[in-house]
Order: sequence, then C-alpha cells, then structure tokens
Amino acid sequence: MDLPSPTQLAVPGFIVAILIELWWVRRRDRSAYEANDTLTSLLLGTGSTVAGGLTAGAVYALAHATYEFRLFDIGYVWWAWIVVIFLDDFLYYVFHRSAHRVRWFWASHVIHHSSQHYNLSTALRQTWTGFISLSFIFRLPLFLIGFPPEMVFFIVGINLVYQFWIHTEAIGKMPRWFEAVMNTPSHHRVHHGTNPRYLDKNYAGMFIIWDRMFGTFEPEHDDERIHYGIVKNLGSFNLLWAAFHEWVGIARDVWSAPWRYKWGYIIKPPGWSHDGSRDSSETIKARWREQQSAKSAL
Amino acid sequence: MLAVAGLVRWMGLGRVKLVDEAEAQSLAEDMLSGFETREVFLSSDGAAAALVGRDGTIGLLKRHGANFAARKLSPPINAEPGTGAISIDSGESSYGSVRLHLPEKDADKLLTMM
Repeated sequence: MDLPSPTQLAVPGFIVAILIELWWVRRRDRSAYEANDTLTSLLLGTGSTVAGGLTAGAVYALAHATYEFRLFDIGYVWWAWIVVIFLDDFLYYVFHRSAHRVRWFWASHVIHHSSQHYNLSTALRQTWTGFISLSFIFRLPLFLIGFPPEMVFFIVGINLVYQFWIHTEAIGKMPRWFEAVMNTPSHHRVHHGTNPRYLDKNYAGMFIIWDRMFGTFEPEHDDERIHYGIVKNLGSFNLLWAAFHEWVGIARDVWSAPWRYKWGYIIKPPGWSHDGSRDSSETIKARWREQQSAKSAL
Repeated sequence: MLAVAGLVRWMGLGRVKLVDEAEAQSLAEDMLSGFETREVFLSSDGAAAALVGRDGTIGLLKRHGANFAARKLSPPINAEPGTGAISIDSGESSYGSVRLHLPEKDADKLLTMM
C-alpha cells in the first residue's frame, strides 16, 4: 500500500502553528522565543531530516527483512491500524525511557533536550545520530509480529506529528479526561524540565497511560517554575556541539576510564561515573529530597 | 527558517537580564544541584553573575538566548581583570568565559575568592 508521509504533509501546519505561537508569545511572554535559539532548533531539525534521509533506505530494508520472518499475516485490516497505534506508542515509551536511562541512546536523544526554551520550534530539534544509536531496533517487534512496514512507518509519522503540538507553554491544561489518557503540553513540559522532581518523568509519546502504568508519571506543579533543557546546559548555539557533544563525552570517558569501567560509560545512565564524582538524576533527586526534608523540619 | 528566525528577532523577543542578586541566587540554586549561595556578584549589564558558594565553589551564570546557562567551578579558577570588568574562564571551550562588569572593589574581592 502506498501511504503518504504524515510529517511531510504536516510541515505547512508546523509553520502556521509556530506563527500563531509567536503571536501569543508577543502578547504574553516575550522570553519564550529567542532568535538564535529558534534558528538553532530549525537548523537541527533540518540536519535531522537530512540524516534520516541518508539512513532511511537501510532502515526500510531492515524493516522488510524482519517482516519476512513475521509470525502472522495481518495485512491492512481495519483493527490492525488501531492496534499498531497503541503498540507503536508503547514501544516508543520503551525507546524513550531507554533514551534517558542508557547513555548510548541518550547521546542521540540529548539534542532534543538541548534548548533551554520550550516552544514549538523546540519540537523540531531531532536527532542526527538515531541510526548510530540503533534506535530503530525498538520498532522491529512490530514487523516480526506481522504488521506491514508501510503501515508502521505511517503510524510512526502520525505519532511524531502528534508530539509537535505538545511543545508549547501557550496551552495550560487540557480537559481532565484528556489529561488522563493523552500526552499533553502540561505532561510534556514536565518531561523537558530539569527540576529535580521532573527528571526522568513522563516519557510518553501519544498516550500518557504508559507512564501512569509503569510509575514514571509526574504531574505539572503550577507553583513551580520549570527550568528547561539539560542538567548541564550547553551555553552554546554551536550546531555540531549540540548534535555530538554527548558522543564526544562518551569517547573521552571510555578512553580515560580504567578497563573494567569503560563499558559503564556507554550503558549506564547519563551522569554515572565509576568514582561517583558526577551527578546523575538519582543523586540530584536524593540531594533535593534531603533539602526539602531539611526545610520542612525547620 | 531564516524568515522565522528573522521574525523572532524583528519582534524583539527574547531579551532578558538578571534583575537583582536575589534572582541570580534563585536561578543558580535551582540550576546547580546542592549549590548554596554565600555571596552574589551581579554584572551591571544583567547578562551574567558569579556566586560564591558556602563551600567555596563558584557558580557562574551566563546569558544564553533568553535564559541563563550555569556552571559550578572549584578554585583555582582562571580570571582576568580588565577595565571595569573581569573575565572568568569556565574551562570549557563551548561554554567559554563569562564577562562581569563590576565595581573595582567587588571585582578585587571576587578575584581573591578564586
């Protein structure tokens, strides 16, 4: 079946949405956009499209090769579309959680979190190195089950387009029923926050139900200002540094670490170090909890 | 792309500065895990600040876009005094050095702490 690319179809909508958000920003929060940051986001998005284009053939071939070993002949029946939407989103959750908890995957994903702003242009900051980090392997089970690659790639595109609109501060909270089931701007602001309580939370793509099911959900606290970005913000608009800095970090650490610890700098969570000298999300959260309990004891 | 970025610039979005020492302290303590401020040196242009921690470490804030990027440094730290300003080297080429416009008395005091 010949299916269109949802992301390509959505590009004009992305631009219109950014213009509407700019209009809102001008009236409500003039610090929500900054020219250098916006240009960096757009260029990183372009780089991601180019990188994706260069490796698309290999990913497509691998998908079809896996599909040859499928367990079931599902085809394009109506219910398969619904099942794929949920299964693909669940696998996205698994991928996304891994992308924050395994440094090798984080090295590829960090680019998306590298802006200290949170607006629709931030959504376009996508990985340049997804192929190197093997992020496509998370989707292979769908082909092995027997869902046609074209169907899966179409739904992947829908999932990506859905995630665009949640990168905004212009929308507060959606109706309660929607917040309960779907990923929303409020839930995803939490995910992009570096506030200790928000670290490693809300990995959802389209449906927030996975975070609620697997204990990684955190609601947005209206009385707490969110600091967006990464724990150690780049302080630079250098495109190449944004795209590759964590890979450089891995290479340096693996090179200098004692032999028995080298592997840890690849597969352990970001911030892990063999001598405990660095901050990981666990140490930051623990320190924050101590501070909170000390404050409440006063 | 250039049109959108140009539009953002034309609209004058994203111009921020640190208003006072309290804001610098709040930002540094939010962004640097475990950092507790003893003294704040705020650049007169509001674009940067250096904060001395209770443990003797130095917190740096540098304007980045419409936000501030932070670093925690341990002495000894390279800093160069200039005319009406001092330049503090973060030790990272990507983050660069941070230029603080300070009264001479404050600049001298900060230099002794690094």
